[in-house]
Amino acid sequence: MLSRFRVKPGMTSGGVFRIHGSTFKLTLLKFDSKIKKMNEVLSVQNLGKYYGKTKAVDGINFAVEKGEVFGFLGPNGAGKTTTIRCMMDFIRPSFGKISALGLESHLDSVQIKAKTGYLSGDVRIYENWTGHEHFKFIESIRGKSKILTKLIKDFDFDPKVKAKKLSSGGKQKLGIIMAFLNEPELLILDEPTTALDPLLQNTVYDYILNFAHNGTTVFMSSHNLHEVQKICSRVGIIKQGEIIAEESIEELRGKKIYVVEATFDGKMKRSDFELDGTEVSKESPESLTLRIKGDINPVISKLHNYKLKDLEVSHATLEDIFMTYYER
Amino acid sequence: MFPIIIRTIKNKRIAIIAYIVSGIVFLLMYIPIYPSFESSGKQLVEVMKGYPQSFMKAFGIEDIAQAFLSLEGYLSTEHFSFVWPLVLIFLALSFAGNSIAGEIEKGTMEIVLSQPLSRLKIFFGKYLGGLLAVILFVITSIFAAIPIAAIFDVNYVAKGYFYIAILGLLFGIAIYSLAMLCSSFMSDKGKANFMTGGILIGMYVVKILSGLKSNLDDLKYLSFFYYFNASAALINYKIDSIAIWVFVLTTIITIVLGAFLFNKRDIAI
Repeated sequence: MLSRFRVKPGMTSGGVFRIHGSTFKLTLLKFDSKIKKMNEVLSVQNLGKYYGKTKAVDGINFAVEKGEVFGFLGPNGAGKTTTIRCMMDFIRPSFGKISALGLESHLDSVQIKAKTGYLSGDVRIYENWTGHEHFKFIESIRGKSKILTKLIKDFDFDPKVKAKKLSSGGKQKLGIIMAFLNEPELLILDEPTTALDPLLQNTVYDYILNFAHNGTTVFMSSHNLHEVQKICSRVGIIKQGEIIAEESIEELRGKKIYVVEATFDGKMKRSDFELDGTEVSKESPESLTLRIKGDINPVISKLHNYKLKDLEVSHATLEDIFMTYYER
Repeated sequence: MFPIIIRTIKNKRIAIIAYIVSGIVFLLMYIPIYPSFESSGKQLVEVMKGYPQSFMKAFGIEDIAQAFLSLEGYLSTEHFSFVWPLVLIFLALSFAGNSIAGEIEKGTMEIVLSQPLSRLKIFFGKYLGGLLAVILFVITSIFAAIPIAAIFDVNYVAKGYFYIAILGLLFGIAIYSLAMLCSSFMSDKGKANFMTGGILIGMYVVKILSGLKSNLDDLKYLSFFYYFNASAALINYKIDSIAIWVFVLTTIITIVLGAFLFNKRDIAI
């Protein structure tokens, strides 16, 4: 019976293992967590950063597995950049631990950075250097790039122009090429497509997906929900320094969130719709827009008591779902 | 570390050349007019003998006759006691301020920090890049006096220039290291330079005050400018051993402290 059984990562213990007693069940749990840990390229455990009494990040936890594109989302000031700076060892956590590529982010920062490509959320470059000088500087530290010519061509970048003459998009391209230059094992990108036109955004997505396909782990923060939906396999949502959700894109899509827009023929009582899981997102004397999480039936029953001019029920978009987290 | 040193020098090559040229231009201004100055030197010595001794001391003139009757005495009074240290201080502050605090202010430090280099290597790479600039300036702006004097047929004694070069290097490196310390924990070039500049101005004032009143005489030991005795080095071939200790210890302490603080600090750009 055992010979036909295959253990896969992510499997949890279940009734089927009771046939041979609890010893077998424990073995499976150990195996499962070991495989998970083996696949973890980036792990953030109980990370906190305080500036005096001001909280920037407070006890966040998440892990990113090999080859995964992890989207890090949150409103401005939520703690995204602080988390990234801690990962890059630019700033030191007040508490908690970050490990990347099996190494400790502070003690082994040099070894980690040797395999990491980083793009800042606000790309700053040496104004008096050309793009070529930037590449030469990085190559003098990291070694010769095998893909530089291709990157320059794909991003339509002129490396002979001095950085001070580059547009904001040109500077972003330079930052991206510098991050991708050495085909890193780990990519940490803060708002990678800021200031890029849609064509170049697609080039960035292609590169990211191609890197991920070849085993690179990508951690990226973004405000662009469309790009998150397009390239990320999983997202973490941070708000006020705390992770409020960590789910796969599919899980998010599968959330039963409805948007109901009802126009009434006459007056309605708002209190009728103040139900559990229901939120009034727009209101006028004759209409209501409701966002419903979970069961839609109680709202439909209430609507049944009114004469309606119009009714529209739709599934929430991914953006609506994110907004529910942001506004929570 | 070498890429950082090389980039630091390349970035500053125009500034380095400008400082070196200015050092040589000053010598070209002073040395050719020395013969005419020398001819009226005796009268000047007589005039200056009437000046209070403390006033002369405050401006680094200890032996009036020596100060005006040899090229080295003339240069130590006119050039190496005030103008030359001032140019050296500007160079040291500008290089140190830009290398850490300036890069953090501009945000370019992220490019360096994201590379596989330890903080200590970054600090010492930047330190050594600036140090080379200080050394280049000191050597060229001092030893250029010899060929310039030869070209304009002015008598000189080469030995003194070696002594002033050693003293100048110790003085320049100590000031540069102090400026690097201030730069290592600041995120704004202006504030870092203001802090180092403030310390140096304080030292200069202390030195002037110590020469004006006998009860303030001991204050001179707090000033780098007391230990930087250009005339003693250039004319008498003397460098006070205490001066060597002060400059060397300042350099060591400020480098170690600067490296420690840079290694420990948060760098949020």
